[in-house]
Amino acid sequence: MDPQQLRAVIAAARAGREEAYRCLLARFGPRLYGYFFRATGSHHDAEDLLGEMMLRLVRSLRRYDDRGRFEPWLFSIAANLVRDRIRRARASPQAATLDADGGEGPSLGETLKGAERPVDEGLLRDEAGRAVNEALARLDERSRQMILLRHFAGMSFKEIAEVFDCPVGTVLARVHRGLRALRRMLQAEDERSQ
Amino acid sequence: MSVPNDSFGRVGRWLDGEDVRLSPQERALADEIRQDLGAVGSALDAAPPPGVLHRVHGRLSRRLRRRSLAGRALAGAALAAAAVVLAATLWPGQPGRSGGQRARGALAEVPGEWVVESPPDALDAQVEALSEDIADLQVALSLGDDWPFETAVSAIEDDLESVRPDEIQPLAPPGEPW
Repeated sequence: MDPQQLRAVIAAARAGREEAYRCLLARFGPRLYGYFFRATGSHHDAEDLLGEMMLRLVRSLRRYDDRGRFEPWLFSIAANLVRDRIRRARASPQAATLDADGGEGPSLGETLKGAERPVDEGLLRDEAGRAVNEALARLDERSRQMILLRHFAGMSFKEIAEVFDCPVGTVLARVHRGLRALRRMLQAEDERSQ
Repeated sequence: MSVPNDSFGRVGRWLDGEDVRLSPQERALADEIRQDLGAVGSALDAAPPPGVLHRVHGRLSRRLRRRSLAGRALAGAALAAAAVVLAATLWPGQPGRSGGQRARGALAEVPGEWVVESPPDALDAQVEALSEDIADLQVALSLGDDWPFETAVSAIEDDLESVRPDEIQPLAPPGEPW
């Protein structure tokens, strides 16, 4: 979808046209889903968040400034949803399926490995996919989010720095360390499976 | 690879496409990050399982329909209110009273509920849409689907808020207390 088409679709969505939202969902839904899935490690949470994201979009699209890039704006909403979900999960760990790490707390990976996620066990048959989730879960929350936003949203480092309200250098240092750790973990996983 | 801390900012700006002159170490760091982004990035992709986008679209579609109905109900209520005000203004009053006094006097006799009453058709459609949602949830529960309840429940809560009790209650006869 070229920028002109996207502008037309956004204008139609603002006017409440259902087909425009369908178009936005078809265009960005798979990537948003991938982002939510990798951010939470759960298909259930990813679908739930994607639904919430689309409802949020209906309410907030009128505030979108047409002069900016749409994807970073869209994914900054998605990042806020993930952050809120993680905060809620920390506040009531019994009720939530998500248990992301915040530097000192228990990691998302510990929860993924546990038996308390039977719903997702059937869905996470893909061993490679599981290894990626477990590797991601070992990263600290901010580094994980920065890497995911760079990959799924195609955000520039400057845009990521704006989302996290920190200097570009901090983003790059975290992304660099996180990517290196991920690469090593995935390589080790590869060697174990061979 | 060890580079000074301030190099990360420069490398970041260079990777964003800015015209920044990099040292050989900074260039090597930039190349390493680019390679890692490519290698790890391909492992990160995860397609949604079949049916996910369809279900999300279904919920979105129902929400849009309800918003449209709520908008029409609001417009109907505003129209009804405008009609009442207009009728009250034009109502023939007692001789010697000004138009404004006549209007105030007439309005004082109109129960508030008459002014905010929503058109029954719109309300019926809202209730029908809510019933559909509840039926969907019942089916999902009976099938034991991995259903995203949080979104579904919050959507229904929102909708229930939009169907206000004063719209559901029947109109009281003028002059009698509720």
